Amino acid sequence: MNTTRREFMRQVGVTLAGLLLSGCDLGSRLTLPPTPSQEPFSTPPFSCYQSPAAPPYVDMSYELRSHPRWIALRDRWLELKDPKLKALEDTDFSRGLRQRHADALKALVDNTELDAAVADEIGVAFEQAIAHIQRQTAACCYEPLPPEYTPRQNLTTQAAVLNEVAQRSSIDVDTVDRAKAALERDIAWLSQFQAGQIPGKLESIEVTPVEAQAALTLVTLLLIK
Amino acid sequence: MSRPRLQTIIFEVTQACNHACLHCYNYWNHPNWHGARLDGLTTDVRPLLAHVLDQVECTHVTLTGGEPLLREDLPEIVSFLSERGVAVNVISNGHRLTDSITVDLIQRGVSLFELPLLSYRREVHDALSGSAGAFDAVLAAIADIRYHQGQVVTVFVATRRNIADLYDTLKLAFAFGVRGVMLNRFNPGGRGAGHIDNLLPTVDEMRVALQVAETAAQEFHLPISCSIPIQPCLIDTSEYPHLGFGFCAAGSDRAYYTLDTAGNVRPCNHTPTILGNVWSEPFGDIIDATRLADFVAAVPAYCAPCARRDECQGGCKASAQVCYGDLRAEEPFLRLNRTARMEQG
Repeated sequence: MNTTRREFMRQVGVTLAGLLLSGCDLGSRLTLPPTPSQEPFSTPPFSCYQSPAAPPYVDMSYELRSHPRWIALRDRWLELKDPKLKALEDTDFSRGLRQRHADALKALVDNTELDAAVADEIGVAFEQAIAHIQRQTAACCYEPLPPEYTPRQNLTTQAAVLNEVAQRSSIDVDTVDRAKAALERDIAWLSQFQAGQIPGKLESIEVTPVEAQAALTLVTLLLIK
Repeated sequence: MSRPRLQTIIFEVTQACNHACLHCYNYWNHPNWHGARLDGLTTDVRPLLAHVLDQVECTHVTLTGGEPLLREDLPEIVSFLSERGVAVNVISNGHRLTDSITVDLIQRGVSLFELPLLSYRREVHDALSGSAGAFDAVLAAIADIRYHQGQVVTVFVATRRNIADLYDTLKLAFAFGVRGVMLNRFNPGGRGAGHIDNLLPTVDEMRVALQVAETAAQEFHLPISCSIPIQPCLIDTSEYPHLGFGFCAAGSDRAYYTLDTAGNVRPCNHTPTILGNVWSEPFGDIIDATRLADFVAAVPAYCAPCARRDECQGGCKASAQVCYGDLRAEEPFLRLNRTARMEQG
């Protein structure tokens, strides 16, 4: 089964929450130009993690400055950094934040600045972002595991440990070979990914224009100061 | 009336199992349990799931048992949930997770497998599992899951039989590419209630294990969480900043209500307490706070003066209930270890 669009939006939410919590100060990397850009697309001068294959960039700086409703939406996302969200369970703060985010989306939709379907997708991402942050605090057997980005160094270490374990144990040879094959695939995937290619599962992610617009809107919103 | 929002539902698809784990917490495996067992493996449970999911807002279901892979229609259950936009976890012992079944389940939408890895030593894992071949089977399953780009976490149930094996077991899990490890201290209940004396670790043993896990979490960058409560009065968990710790979630927004194939709903999967049945009343009524009040309020008298009583709740009250017949009793880990500590002065 391919990654569904809802899974895609959930991963967008988790990723953005992870970036915000890791101290990636998205909002400080860009400042508004002195005049509104005349070009519909431009490349951002900075990003937290510069990629050689950066996607087209929608310049929302003019809209942001002109319409505080967009700022209100962005501020709700920045509230994800508030330590009050790291509670063992839903609190008045998390419930209030959800409501404020929903209100911000509704204001944009009501003023025809944001398509309702796109707003719905942004809501999915926000919900998952909150869940991701709360999971960092409360460990439980029965909660979904957030996606994890495995650094190359960890895979190298894993390969060494796997060799060591295989040599000094009586684990079935076929099982070890299968584990090695899985690891080699992870390494290959990461190499492709870091080279700016789109490897493996990413090819099968189903993303409609609505989801793409929702994700792009969020990324752009959080990149502009 | 708005639909209750649940983070997750635990669905016990069968009470049958092909292992006989010494540490098993399933209440129906308690030596003194004489109630009916829901071993049925052929009943179509999709109408039940549809009935429940129509009443709640829930995007995550964990399929467990017993051993869920004993159900031949497990793939259809997974597909049914995926098509409703529900993420699916499967808790299994891994013995029946062949390569083809693994591929099928991943393709149908299982986002995470949770499998036991109780030791790096075959004989210890097999003995605790009560099943020869369990170790080889679970390692093969982990390798297959990772090969097919699925996600897997392993569970290490810390008992006196295997606690010294923790570091090498974490290392083995890391080598096989697991995405995290749950380090759960033995929580007596079910069959495990008959093995308290020879399996329940002491506080000192757990403290050493936590330090080992803390070191391994840093060394391997491996997420390790302890979801079975550890009472702060016994062990200061703040000394292990790289480990995650959790307390009882019953009645909270994080609660993992447990559903069986008959439609009974329980506060969690460790307790036999039935809150209600979804075929006879709305789910929202079943999990109403008044219905849960006794369960939530149950705290041992020993904990009354403690400032962290509301957070810790004395540990696992379901374990106290199954082992001693009283939700307000001190659960075994607290009872035995605080007594030992008092005797030590």
